[in-house]
Amino acid sequence: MNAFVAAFLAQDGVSNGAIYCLMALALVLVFAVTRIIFVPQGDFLSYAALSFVSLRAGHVPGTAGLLLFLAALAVAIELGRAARGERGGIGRRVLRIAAAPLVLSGIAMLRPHMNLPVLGDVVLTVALVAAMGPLLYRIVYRPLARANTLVLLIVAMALHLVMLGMGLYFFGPEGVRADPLIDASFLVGGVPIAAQSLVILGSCAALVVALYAVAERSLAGKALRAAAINPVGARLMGISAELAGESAFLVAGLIGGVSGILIASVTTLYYDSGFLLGLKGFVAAILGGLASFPLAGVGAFGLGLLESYASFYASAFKETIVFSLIIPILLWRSLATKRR
Amino acid sequence: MKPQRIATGLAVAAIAAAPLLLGDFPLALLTYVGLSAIVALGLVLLTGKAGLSSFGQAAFVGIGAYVSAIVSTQAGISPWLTLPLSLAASGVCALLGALVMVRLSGHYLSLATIAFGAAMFFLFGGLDITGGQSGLSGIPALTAFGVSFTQAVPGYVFVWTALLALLWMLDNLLDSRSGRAIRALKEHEAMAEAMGIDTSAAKTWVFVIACVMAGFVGWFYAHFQRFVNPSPFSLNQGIDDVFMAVLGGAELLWGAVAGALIVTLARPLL
Repeated sequence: MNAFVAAFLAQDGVSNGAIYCLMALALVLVFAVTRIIFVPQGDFLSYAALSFVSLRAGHVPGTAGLLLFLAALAVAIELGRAARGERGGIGRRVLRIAAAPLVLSGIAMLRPHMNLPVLGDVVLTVALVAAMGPLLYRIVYRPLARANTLVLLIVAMALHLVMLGMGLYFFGPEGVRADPLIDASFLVGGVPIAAQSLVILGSCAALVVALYAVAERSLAGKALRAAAINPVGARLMGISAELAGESAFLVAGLIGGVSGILIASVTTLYYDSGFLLGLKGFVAAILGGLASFPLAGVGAFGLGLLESYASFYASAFKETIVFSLIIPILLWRSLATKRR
Repeated sequence: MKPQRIATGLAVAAIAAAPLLLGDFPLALLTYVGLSAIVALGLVLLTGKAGLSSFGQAAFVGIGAYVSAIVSTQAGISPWLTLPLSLAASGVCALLGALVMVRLSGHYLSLATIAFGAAMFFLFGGLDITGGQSGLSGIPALTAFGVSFTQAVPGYVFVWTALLALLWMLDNLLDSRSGRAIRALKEHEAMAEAMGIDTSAAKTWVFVIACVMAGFVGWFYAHFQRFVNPSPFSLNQGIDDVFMAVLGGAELLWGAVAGALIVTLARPLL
């Protein structure tokens, strides 16, 4: 390996690392707030990539129908609860669930008749996928708020399979690839750098900074952090655990949406590609014990680089190397946790 | 007679009558149900009885299948002689895995087995000796007294006899002193330790038993299909196996059979 190849692999590793970093961020956040090991995080990514490509092609994305379906389901559950006695403010509650999905699906369905710039499609895709997060939380996880981690994990697995099936139904089995957001490359010290790599890295950094700012400065962010650090204390202070769960899922959907668009132009994605990327996000998240954001970030970039160099030296075994790495880490985390 | 005994008797009678009543295709399907049920039975023991979870059982099926497929094809020996090899390979891998496993708890364990399942799937697909993604073909069939077990009726009889024997053995195991120790692992680990039970050893044994059962399934599968490739040993299959165990009621041994039946028969409909 010479310096040129090394630099090229590093670029590849860092841009993959940025995607893993975003995945890991979402997983750590969801786990911290709700104790859910959110396996379907990768499915958000696939949904976003597939929706973005079909929006760019001037079609109505499957996500629009899916979102309406989920909203209808959530409304039905809410009405069912109202029928069993919780009547207070039912109109307002239904409106709160259904308003955003209706508006977003409406825009998506009118999209073929509009002339949206790329940025418009980006925003619409992210919004469509992000809106799915809180709905999934309401439908699947709210009734299970007190279940233990293992049950939540098994439910997450089931949800992943359901989302996989819905992905196949709504998007079909074809792989998609988007045009790069910025199609350019330039030389730095003799090594070509693709602008898309910088877009990925920049978006990742921007999202991390934005999330940090929201978590540190805003009231909603502080409430979310409180719910993550001390759920009982937060409840005593009047922070709704349900609202915190929904917010965490909203952020997870948002992150899934952004990373799906970013990666859509780097590689061909299928309805089931997200799972593997999500799993790699896990490897990184676990490096941070599913608790530390900075450690998860470091883990993500380390993983991206490891994978990229492994694909050079032992390409047949790169996935095996990446996934085997998790076992010593888990062992170390498990021992470290027990000692406390 | 206890109603439970009557139900078991009826189930066994139905299983015994199936080859007389059904055609080749349903029997072949039921053979796959039986194979899945053995894997799920191991998981019922792990999850339902001992409170451990594993999403990586499909990888152990793969170990059993590949070991027998490689040895019997390359050395040209009878599958009956490679059976101990398959069982030993999955057992030794399980022992090594158990060294890590007994130190992990709760969701860390689940995640470790997910990672193991994913890693093994890519290993099967990446090695030269396993034939990569295209797999191995021309594996010798399992025969005894001139009967080939690749045929529908003998295959069905072999798998379901094995399944019923395993059900009987596990039922006896759980009813014994070590069985009570295993059942105590799930919710009363501290109590079991206070009673002088080596919980690490008990966990190791449960895991090894479940994995050797998976290895047995892999061995039969390789010589039944006479072709192996990585896809039936993927992580998704491992997840399906857990669903089978949970769907049939993770507490019940027969639940594994019910779960395997539901999942295998429902899949073509979905």
